[in-house]
Amino acid sequence: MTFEEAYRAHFAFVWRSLRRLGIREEDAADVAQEVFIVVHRKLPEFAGRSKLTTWLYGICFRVASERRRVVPRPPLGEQEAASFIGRQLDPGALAERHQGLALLERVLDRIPDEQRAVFCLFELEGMTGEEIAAALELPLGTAYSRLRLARVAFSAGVAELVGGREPRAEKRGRSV
Amino acid sequence: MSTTTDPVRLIADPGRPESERALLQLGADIAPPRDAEARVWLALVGAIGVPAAAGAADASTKTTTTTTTTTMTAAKAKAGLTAVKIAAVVATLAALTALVALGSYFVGAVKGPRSPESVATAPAAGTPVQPAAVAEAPPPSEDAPPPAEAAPARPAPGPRRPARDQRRPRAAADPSTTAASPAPRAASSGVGRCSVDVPFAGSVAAVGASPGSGVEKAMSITPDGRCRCFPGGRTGRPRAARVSAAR
Repeated sequence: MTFEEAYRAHFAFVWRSLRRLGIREEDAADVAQEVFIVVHRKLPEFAGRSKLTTWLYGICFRVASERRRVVPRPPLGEQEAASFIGRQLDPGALAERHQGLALLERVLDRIPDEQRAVFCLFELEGMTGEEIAAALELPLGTAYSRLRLARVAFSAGVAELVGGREPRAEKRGRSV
Repeated sequence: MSTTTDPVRLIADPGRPESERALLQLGADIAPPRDAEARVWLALVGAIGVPAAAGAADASTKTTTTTTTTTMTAAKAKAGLTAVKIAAVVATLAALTALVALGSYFVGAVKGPRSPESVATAPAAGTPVQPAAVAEAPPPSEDAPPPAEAAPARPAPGPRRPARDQRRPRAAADPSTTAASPAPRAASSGVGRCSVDVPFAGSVAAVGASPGSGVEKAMSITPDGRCRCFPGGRTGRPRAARVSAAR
């Protein structure tokens, strides 16, 4: 696969992976460019033993980790997060969707980076445990262990932000 | 897509709280903005030289070729700039050299070495030349330019033109000045007596000096048809003289 083909096929994957790894919307383009610069340099070395997305996610993880280390994220206000929880499921509200994404980022920020990567790949990207282990160069058991810990942290974060309050039933549904 | 060992995903687990599933659904639906792909691609084109309009057939080859071409073009441009710079420096040096040579030529013409002939030929016997009456530098006229503007060793030609005009009829009367003459070439300097020995075959020869400065006494036409001038002053101070010959 050529570089342009890889770019066209997997730009969206790289973008959402970066966003799930804590890169802001306004910074995602720059970080995606950094990722594809690395891809352009290392693509000839890609042997094809794993899926390209798996290989790409490894690059995304490292670039995003470096970016988050240099530019830490400001915390989301408690009031903002709590106000979203009660209204997040209003359908068709783009602004509320952005708030929902901000809340998700806040919850994910409470999860350590290693666990967060496994959690996002498994829960949001739909990768298998073996693929995640290959992407992050982990033993399979370690990948599952991190997934379990990440799930616990995620549930705790959501429960804390929601305050044990569940949204009303009539407002449930996708907000996209 | 999950294997037999993978647990059920939270987003598909009805036993999980709805808030968790909603948040996860938001995370699963993340998509880049519409123009993000094009913007990042353009940035990549600028950053790593990826061809923007490369086809899908052999993009990597094109990428390499374009990158190489870009590099070669940049190198050529750089080399061209360097050549232009070198050429400019050489041209500047050549111009400076030419200026220095020209200046040396004129300085040599004005303060050139006294020809042996002129040194040896102090006023010949029988000639009306009187070294003591050699023309002196003209007093600064009122309409002459200030010293800062005038060349120090080269008197301004304006005030002297009338002097030449005054002497022209006298020189024209001399029968030895009927033929055309080359331009005078040398002015000499020395201590005590300065002379200019000018090949003279023209009609008029004059030493640049103001009228009445006795320049006519400082000129002589030698028997072999040469104009001899003694531009040194009465004090014998060496001074540049300007000898002109009108054809």
